[in-house]
Amino acid sequence: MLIKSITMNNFRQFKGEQRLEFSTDSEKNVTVLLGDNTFGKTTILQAFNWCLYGVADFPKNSRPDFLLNLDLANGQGSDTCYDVYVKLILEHEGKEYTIKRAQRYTNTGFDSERWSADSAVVKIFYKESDGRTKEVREGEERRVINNILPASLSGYFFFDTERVSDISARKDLKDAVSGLLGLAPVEKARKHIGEETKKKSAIGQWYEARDNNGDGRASEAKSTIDRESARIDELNQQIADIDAELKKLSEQKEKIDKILRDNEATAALQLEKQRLEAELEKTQTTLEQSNKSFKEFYSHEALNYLMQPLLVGAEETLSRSKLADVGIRDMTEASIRSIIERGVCVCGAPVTSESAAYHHLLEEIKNLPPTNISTAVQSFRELIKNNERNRETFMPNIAERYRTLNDIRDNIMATEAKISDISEQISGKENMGEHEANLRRIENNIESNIEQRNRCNRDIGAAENSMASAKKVYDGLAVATEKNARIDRYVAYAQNICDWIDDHYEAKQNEMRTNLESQVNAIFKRMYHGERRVRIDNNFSVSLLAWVQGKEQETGESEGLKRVKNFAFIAGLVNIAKQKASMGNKTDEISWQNEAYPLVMDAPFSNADETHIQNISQILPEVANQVIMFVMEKDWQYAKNVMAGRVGRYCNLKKNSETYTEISLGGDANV
Amino acid sequence: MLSEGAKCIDIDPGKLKKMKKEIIELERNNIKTGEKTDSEMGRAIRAIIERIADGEA
Repeated sequence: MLIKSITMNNFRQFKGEQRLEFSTDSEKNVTVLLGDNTFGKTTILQAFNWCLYGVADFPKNSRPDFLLNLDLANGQGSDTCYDVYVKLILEHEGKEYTIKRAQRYTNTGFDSERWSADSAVVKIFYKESDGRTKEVREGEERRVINNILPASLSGYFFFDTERVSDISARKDLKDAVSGLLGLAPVEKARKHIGEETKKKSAIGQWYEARDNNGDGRASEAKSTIDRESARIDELNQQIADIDAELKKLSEQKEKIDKILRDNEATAALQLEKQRLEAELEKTQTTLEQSNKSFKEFYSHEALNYLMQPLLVGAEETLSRSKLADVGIRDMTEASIRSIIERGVCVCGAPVTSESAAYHHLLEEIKNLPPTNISTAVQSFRELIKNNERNRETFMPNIAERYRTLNDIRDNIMATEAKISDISEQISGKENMGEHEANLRRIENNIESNIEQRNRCNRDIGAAENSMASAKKVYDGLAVATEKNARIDRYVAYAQNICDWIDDHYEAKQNEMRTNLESQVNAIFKRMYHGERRVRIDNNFSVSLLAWVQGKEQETGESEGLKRVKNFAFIAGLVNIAKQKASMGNKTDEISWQNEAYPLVMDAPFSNADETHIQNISQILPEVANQVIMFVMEKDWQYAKNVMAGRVGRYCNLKKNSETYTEISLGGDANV
Repeated sequence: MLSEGAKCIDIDPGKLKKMKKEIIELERNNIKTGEKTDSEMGRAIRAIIERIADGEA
């Protein structure tokens, strides 16, 4: 980093816009600003701090927060508002930056507190290599400035010799020093490459873009394809087995068919014989039933038929008798006596010995057997008459039944004769029935096998459909699978870079610390000729060690010794920072150009003797690319002999009043 | 944790070195400008790795 210029506008005693340019010549890299006490040297140093970090450390009794020039603030008829700003133009890693921090002061009244200050606003612009100017995004200003020059180290780069704190007291140097020594890009790269769980990082973004669900679905689809494919193979094998079985069955069927064809007549006779035997069995059953029916009919009807002569004679005799037709048909004496005994007639009339009904009933008994048989004879005659039709049909009926029996017997004899005849014809021949039974069994088997083969073909169709669907899904996901494979490749490279950083970062940091310690001690030795040395530990804490009673330990330090130590540390840091940075071992080393830093020092020779002044003057231009010194003329007298050849620019501070200092350019190294 | 797929990748040392150089250069540039956020840097690094991994060494 090289500082090209600083412009202050109404900043404390620098009224109006005043610009100070610095030497950027690599050979004459020193800018000297001469001014005595109270001329404004420290104000310029604080202008750097305010511009970059927004803080300015002024004495408490000088209204430290009030930056507006007091001539303007206290002037009569002053304007209603003034802008205070500091603008730095600097060059860092090939880019020119303009950093401007501004604060507006507005006049609100007539008393001493009449000035109201707005919040300071910082803006950063930088020029691209193609000459275009771009502005750093709002909110990023602090980060950019800290990466150019960490605020934690600003007190050493903007070195107020009389007020700088002891470097040994600082505990926050590790990150700042690592950054200055060139490890910041590596650390940032590690963060930005990141890991799976850091979604903003490169690896995190890849994992977000990865189609993990698609992988699962593709795997499932592939599994379906494999499964259905195996199923189709299995079904095809089953079909092949079925076809083989069908072929065998067809051959058997053909063989039996031939036998049956060759013995067609025998088979027909055997079949006829079977039919006749079945018919014979049926006819014999009919004969048994007819026999039984004949016997039953005869038993029931034959007596009536055989009594016919007697009944005819009885009818002739009875028809000649003169019997009065009195009395009630089928009425008995016992029935009438039962009514009398009951005392009530069937008509409901009471039956007592005195009643007329009683006497009528007794009279009726006289019309009944055995006193009177006329009703019985009448009934008998009706019976004879009724049975007359049965007697007439008996003979034809029994004759018909007899003929039927004879017909059945004839039928049986004929069938038996046919069976006997066929038996003689087929005697000694194979039983075609068995062949036919086998043929039916084989035909059933063939039918069953064909049905099974059809089922297999249907299952193959279903499996092919399922496989086609899965294939479609799989093909659709192939794009996602390909994408995942690419992501895996990218992640593998990214992880390799992370491993490379993880493996080397700590070692590199340690190497830089050792190197820094060596450089600091080399500079320290040129300024201090005692037995002490500077130690920089793993946390970049700086301490001064001395040998006391054979043991190296920290000891008390004078103010002068502290300044030498601080100066040596910063000079060593600046010296290393401008060297080339690298990472990795010989096979995978990556290197990059690091940045040189300036040293802006207020009163660097304060309280130093002539020897120290000359040492410092000699070391400063060697280690820093740019040295900006604010010195009193009395101290410059000791330094100029050593440093004059490296001075590229002189400036003088001209104090017009306590509230107004002017910067005048030019000057002479021999002033 | 690398996925099973990522573990099987053959790393081309030439491509890897090129990636490292470009990523560090990208980081150095962004340190100067603060132009890109962390998320944008993640994307920019992805772009570098993808371009080099897919291209010639």
